[in-house]
Amino acid sequence: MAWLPKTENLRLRRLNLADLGIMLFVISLIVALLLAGRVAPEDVLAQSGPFHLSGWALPVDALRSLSRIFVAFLASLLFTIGYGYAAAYTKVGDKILVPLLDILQSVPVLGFLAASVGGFVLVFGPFWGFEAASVFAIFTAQAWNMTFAFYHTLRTLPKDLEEVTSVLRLSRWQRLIHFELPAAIIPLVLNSMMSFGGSWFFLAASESFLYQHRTIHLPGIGSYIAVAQQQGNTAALLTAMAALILMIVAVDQLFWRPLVAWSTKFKMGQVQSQEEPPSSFILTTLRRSSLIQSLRERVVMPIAESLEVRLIRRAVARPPARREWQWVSTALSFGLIGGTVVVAALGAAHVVASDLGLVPRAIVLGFYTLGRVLAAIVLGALWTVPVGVWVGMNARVLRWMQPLAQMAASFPANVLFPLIVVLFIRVGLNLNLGAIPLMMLGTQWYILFNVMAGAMAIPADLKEAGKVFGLRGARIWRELILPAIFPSLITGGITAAGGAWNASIVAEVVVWHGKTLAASGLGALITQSTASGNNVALLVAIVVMSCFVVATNRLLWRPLYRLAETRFHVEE
Amino acid sequence: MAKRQTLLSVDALTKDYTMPGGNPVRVLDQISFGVEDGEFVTILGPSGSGKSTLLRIIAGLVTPSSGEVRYLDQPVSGVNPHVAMVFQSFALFPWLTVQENVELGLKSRGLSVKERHERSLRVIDMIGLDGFEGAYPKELSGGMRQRVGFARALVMEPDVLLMDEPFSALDVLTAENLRRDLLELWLEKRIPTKAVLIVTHSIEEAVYMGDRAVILSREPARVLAEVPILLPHWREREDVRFVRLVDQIYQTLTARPVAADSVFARGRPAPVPAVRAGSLTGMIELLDDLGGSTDLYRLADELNMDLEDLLPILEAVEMLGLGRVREGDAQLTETGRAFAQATVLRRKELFRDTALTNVPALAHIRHQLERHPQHRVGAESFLELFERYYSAEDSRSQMETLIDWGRYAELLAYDQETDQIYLEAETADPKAVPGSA
Repeated sequence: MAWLPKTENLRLRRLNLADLGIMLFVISLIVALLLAGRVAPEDVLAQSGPFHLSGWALPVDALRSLSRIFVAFLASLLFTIGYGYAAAYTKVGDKILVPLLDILQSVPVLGFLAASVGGFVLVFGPFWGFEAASVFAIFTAQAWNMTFAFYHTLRTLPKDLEEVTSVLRLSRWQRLIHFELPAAIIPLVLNSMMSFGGSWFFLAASESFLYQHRTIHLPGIGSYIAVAQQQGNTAALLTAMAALILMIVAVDQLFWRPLVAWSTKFKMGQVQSQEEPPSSFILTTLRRSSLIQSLRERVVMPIAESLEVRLIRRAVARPPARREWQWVSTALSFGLIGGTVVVAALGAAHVVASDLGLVPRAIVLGFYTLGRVLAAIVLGALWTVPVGVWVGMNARVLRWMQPLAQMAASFPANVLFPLIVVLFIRVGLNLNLGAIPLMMLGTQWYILFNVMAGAMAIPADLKEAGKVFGLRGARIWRELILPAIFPSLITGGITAAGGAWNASIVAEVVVWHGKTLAASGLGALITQSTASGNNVALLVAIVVMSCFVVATNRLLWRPLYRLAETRFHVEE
Repeated sequence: MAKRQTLLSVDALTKDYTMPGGNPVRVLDQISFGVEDGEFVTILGPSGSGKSTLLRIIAGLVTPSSGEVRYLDQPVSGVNPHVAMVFQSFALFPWLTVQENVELGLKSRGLSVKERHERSLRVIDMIGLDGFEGAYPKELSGGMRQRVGFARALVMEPDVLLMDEPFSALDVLTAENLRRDLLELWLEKRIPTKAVLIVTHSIEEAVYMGDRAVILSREPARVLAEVPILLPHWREREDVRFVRLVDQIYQTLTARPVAADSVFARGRPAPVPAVRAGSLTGMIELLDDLGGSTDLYRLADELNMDLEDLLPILEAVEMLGLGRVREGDAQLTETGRAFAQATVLRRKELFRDTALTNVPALAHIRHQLERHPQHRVGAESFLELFERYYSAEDSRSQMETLIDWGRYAELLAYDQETDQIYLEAETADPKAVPGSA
């Protein structure tokens, strides 16, 4: 083939094992997705009988659930960019969109599901409506903190780089693509990882839900777990758990690790850090693969180029449309506010008409749950602080503990709740107290992580000074370690508290083998009203819980956080 | 010299900022000057003189409160299309390679890939970056990074090249090397740039590179003088004419009208330079060692410091009545000499007396504390007084300095946790001898 250009020859020869691996992976992914997509809508809709717990269906189910999570993740990303942009660059943004996001963040995830199923079914019809509602529930578990991260990045962009984009006369689109998005990659990847980990937790609840007094089981590993719990099938539950662990590890290795390694490229600052940057075998393989390289050069880059040229022409033809954006975000926020007000008014009228005692009852239950949330955090801190400090200060232990703890954190502990509750019953612990350790299972990891990071960051000179002045035992804890890790402890506590409120919904009611155990609490009220289709009670419970979350944030966490930032800030 | 065409001009530029206290503060006041075709102009001024703001107004990044920027006698609004800019901090995108950074601006012009590559590679070669096209900024040294900054500006082939302290983040040798390279490109007309406008605080840099220096005053910035620099290139720093020019500009810069002392009630308090008591005593000891009086130029040399860093310290010394600057010389006063030779405790007493007489703001704080029944006042109430006239950042910095001086003089104590200023029990009586407790 002498007529081929030389480089072409080279390319072909360099097609290596890695390329084969990539092709194999892509093909099998396509096949698997096709398999997973083969669901007859009638099966779901007509499902009155049992959902089959066949071990063979499990991998396909798992893939379906994974697809939903990824679709939700994509939606979260798009939402993040749009909402974050509008919030950061418009006048209404700061005053309305940001506080609104704060409230959205405190609404329990499952509340969105129950509230939205009806609407989605109306718009998309029964089958796709259920799917959309399920994806939407996962979306609500992911989107808010990603949006906050993006918004925060946009508000703290380096001034000089902003000036460069102006002097070079980049259009809004070019600014977004070449500056704002790259600048936000690292916080976005980190927050996406957390969001993604959080969405496993709601898999079971987001796939089987009540619609017009019928339980819908969407095919997926979440339904599998729900049904296994319902039937009290320990073997099926353990199998599902194993499958989940496998999925989490696979997604971590194949998706997140390469992303994290890639994101280091976007680190701000001019100094090359001394630390070993995170690396990923997959990323290196992808980068070195000639297949990917030529795909990049021949397909991706030309398309990107021509798209950009087109966008510039439009931008040049029309001067930056600030007012249009203003209009979009004004409409968006007034729509949201108007909608919320109308819904709230209707809801309030409905509540008053049906049950007067509902609101006070929900508030009392809220205090029970608040007690559990705080107990879970205090108890969690009791063991995570010493362990976290020990690990954080021992580089060798840290190396193998960190990934392990990460895995434990993203593992949806609620899958195991029924098995643990069976144990509780044996030792005579009722769920009113038992819900606390259940909530801890899901939330203590956040504290552990942050304490580990805090202990790791204690400056060496402070440690040495402590030694020189003979600080030992309890005194070194009081004088050095506790003050130094205080800010990270608070950050961990805030995250854990958010998680614990959400966890209360799944921890305060446990179903096993057809029996239902419930604690008295707001989380239980939400689950039970969902299960019984009592939308009024559900609405009240959700609103009350959101109020509790906002109130504890304002009254407890924010002052603590401010204290941490001012008093206990260790200068680098 | 034949009259050349005026390329760029600023006409009565004024910039006001509104302070947190609500008062507008003037940063730039009626600034007018022109840049001719083929001219290399430097803007010289002490720190805080708003010279970077001036450059940003010319670039169209900041809108003036009044006045206008003209290009070939046409008013320019929005981002100035005829300029490119080089930044003090380099301002490179860390995720783009050298070549991608250089090409970024060309992308907004909608050039084809081929054309972009050709133009960027030509500039990269010219500026001495070949071989580094694919490197990321993190992999480069400071000097190489600023070369990328130059390449990114030059590839746009601007008529006017704006530079904001482009060499001040570099070490001495690298800066000198880069200055020479840039000057060579300019003098040999290897770049199509028609004029260069550079902001700097280094007088030597201005005299070394420019055809003319526009000298700005401080608070607000006005044009103090325009000094033509007619020495032929390449200029030698040891040249008598060079030294004379530098000295002349030094004197113009430091011949500030003495600000009338004013208490808060009577208007804007004199700005307190952010200099800690430690640096103050160090400077006074040094001046004493040098015989109590010395040439500013020599002093800067002795300390290996830039004018930018030296001036605030001298200002503080002058404010406290410990020394003064006259016609390019810094000298100690009687009190200053006594201070230099006193013991640690005696120094504190001297400092306290002179501070109370010469720094009205400090006297005011002390007075308020004595009047207060608990001798304890929140710092924010004093901060507000500053914020009527200064930005939040400046006010905090001035307050911090006053607290530092007050602590050193044992005039006051400060509790950071409650943000309160108070009198310690043993110093509440103004006549008590400090340190006797």
